[in-house]
Amino acid sequence: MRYDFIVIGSGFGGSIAAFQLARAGARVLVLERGPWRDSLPVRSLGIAERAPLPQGWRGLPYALRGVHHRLLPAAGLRLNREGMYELFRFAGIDALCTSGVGGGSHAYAGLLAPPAAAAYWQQRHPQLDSRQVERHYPQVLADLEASELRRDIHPNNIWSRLAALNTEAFQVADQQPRLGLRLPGQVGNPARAAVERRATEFRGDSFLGSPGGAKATVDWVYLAPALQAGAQLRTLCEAVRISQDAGGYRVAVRDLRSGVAEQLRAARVVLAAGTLNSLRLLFRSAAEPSTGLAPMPSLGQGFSGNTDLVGFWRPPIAASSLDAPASLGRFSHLKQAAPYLVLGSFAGMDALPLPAPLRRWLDQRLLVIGMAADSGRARVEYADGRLRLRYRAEDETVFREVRAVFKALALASGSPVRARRGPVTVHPSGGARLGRDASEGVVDQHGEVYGNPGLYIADGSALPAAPGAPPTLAIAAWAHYLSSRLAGSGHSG
Amino acid sequence: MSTPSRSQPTAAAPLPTKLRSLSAPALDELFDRLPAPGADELRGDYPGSVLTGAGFEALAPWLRPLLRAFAAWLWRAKSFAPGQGINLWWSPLRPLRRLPYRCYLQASALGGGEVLVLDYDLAGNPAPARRVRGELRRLAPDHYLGRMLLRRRGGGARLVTYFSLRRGQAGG
Repeated sequence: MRYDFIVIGSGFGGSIAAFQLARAGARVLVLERGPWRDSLPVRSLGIAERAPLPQGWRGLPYALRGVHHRLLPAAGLRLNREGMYELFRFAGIDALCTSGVGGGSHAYAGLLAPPAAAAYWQQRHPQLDSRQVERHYPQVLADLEASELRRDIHPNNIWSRLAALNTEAFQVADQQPRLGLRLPGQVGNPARAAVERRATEFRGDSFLGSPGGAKATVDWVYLAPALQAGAQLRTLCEAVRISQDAGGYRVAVRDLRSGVAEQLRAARVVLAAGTLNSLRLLFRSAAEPSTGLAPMPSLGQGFSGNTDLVGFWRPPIAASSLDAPASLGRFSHLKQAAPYLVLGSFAGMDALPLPAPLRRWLDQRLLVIGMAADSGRARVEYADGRLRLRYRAEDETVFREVRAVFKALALASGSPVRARRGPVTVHPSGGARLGRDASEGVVDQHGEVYGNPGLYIADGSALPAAPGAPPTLAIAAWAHYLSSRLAGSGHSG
Repeated sequence: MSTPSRSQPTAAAPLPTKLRSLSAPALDELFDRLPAPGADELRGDYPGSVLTGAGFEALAPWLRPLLRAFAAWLWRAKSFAPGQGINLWWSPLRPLRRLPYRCYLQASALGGGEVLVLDYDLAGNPAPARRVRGELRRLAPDHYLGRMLLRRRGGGARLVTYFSLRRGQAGG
């Protein structure tokens, strides 16, 4: 069977694209290398085969899918094909990626914010007006039933935490992110009455998943409706290679249960496997002449870690994470506007079976995360079957700025902010970015790969630059924008 | 699936020589076909082997034998006396006897007829262990297939792992 679209990946990019395309009547196949995750909404949809979220003893083996390092085999060291996180250790930066139906939506903190820069989308392509993508923000926020981060949602909010500092150096940001989180008392979308979902109890619902479904994840928000609209999904099925095929594409896949390899055909392919996995798939496919893919000279350029510097801060007040929302909110430094600063708690970390001393240590601390648009000078390369990246955080001005803000916070509070020396990004982006032509980018203003018509990229790898803010809304809006156009373009390829 | 009574032969189909090669669904099917042992049939020490468990097949192939080897090193055997038993664990001098259980015949918590239940809900056991329920059926004379279940707080139970017990030698 030849599909109209094969969508590779089921995170924000893939699920949104699959939903839009299936709803428009296209024959859509979604490939996902991980399993469905066990949550109340997914159970209520009658999905039988589910892997646990990495919570509690039972979920512990499902925390890590595998590790990639230059000293390991090219395919990395796989621990559990149903594991949630995959760690890439590069020179100068580590990156954490996710796998499983719903992808990164199980790991995001629920923060939904537009990119920090004005005119973000048009900075690398004159024919793309930022408003074309920005007008998709409201629909995505509505689909995710996003709530407002208000002063009264919890006593231990960002306002109360910063007020305790008794300093004017820091203030609560005027523009707070929206929350992809159902708050107590919030009325749900009546069209989703069949999906069971609890309100948040302000514990967890963050990077270890949301078992009660308080956090909006795209597996039930977008993918389940896509399946109801006729899309098909193959879980534990990994895309290995993309080739040109008589007016369309052939995707070589491997079933991770049986090991059986197969070739699937589609008129068009939407690649949304997550930044690093999409890049790996493109590099691998382009490296083999037999695939017939046109060269992508800019592939790998413009990689960004979104800065993502994480600090552990012991505030001068009791910070028991057992009684605080995981995402306390956004704040800013009066003299340093650049970093997008988020304060979070470790609420819900007790879902992991941690030793009591470590739990106590975490309970007394808050997480300060500084995000900022780095230069995008880093370049991902591919050699010997593996991705390579040398990231020089010390050359990036924004790292110095974030560190300076951490220092100012430590001075204001009298308590140090301890940050890791190198960044650990959970928001890798770029490498197949938007550009005005093939010498400047990999995809055009419609997300289509230059020289490879019918191949689209709907994940963070296509972003024009680091968002300098939590990138979820940007990726979701990009996928929504791209697939809206595809959905309206007919499906014969 | 109907379950054979205790008077029936031990197994209706040829027994696999290598239980370790069977997946969890295959072991489910095998377990369903086996008869329950008598309530006081097991006496003395039965060395055990961990076979497979929930999610075990999802682990990387290189990791599975390591985990099995670790389990085999740590957990050595079960010892039975009428109506009760205890686990034997590794220790430098002689096996440590910890985590006792009561034995009785009862319907399986997962359905499919009678099993010999190893009930860890005893006052002296630590709280997490008290949620454990073992179920045992006979594979062959002096050779048993068991499974460890965890009682859910809301009722019912879920499979944690399969194991085998064999008198006098390591099972599997």
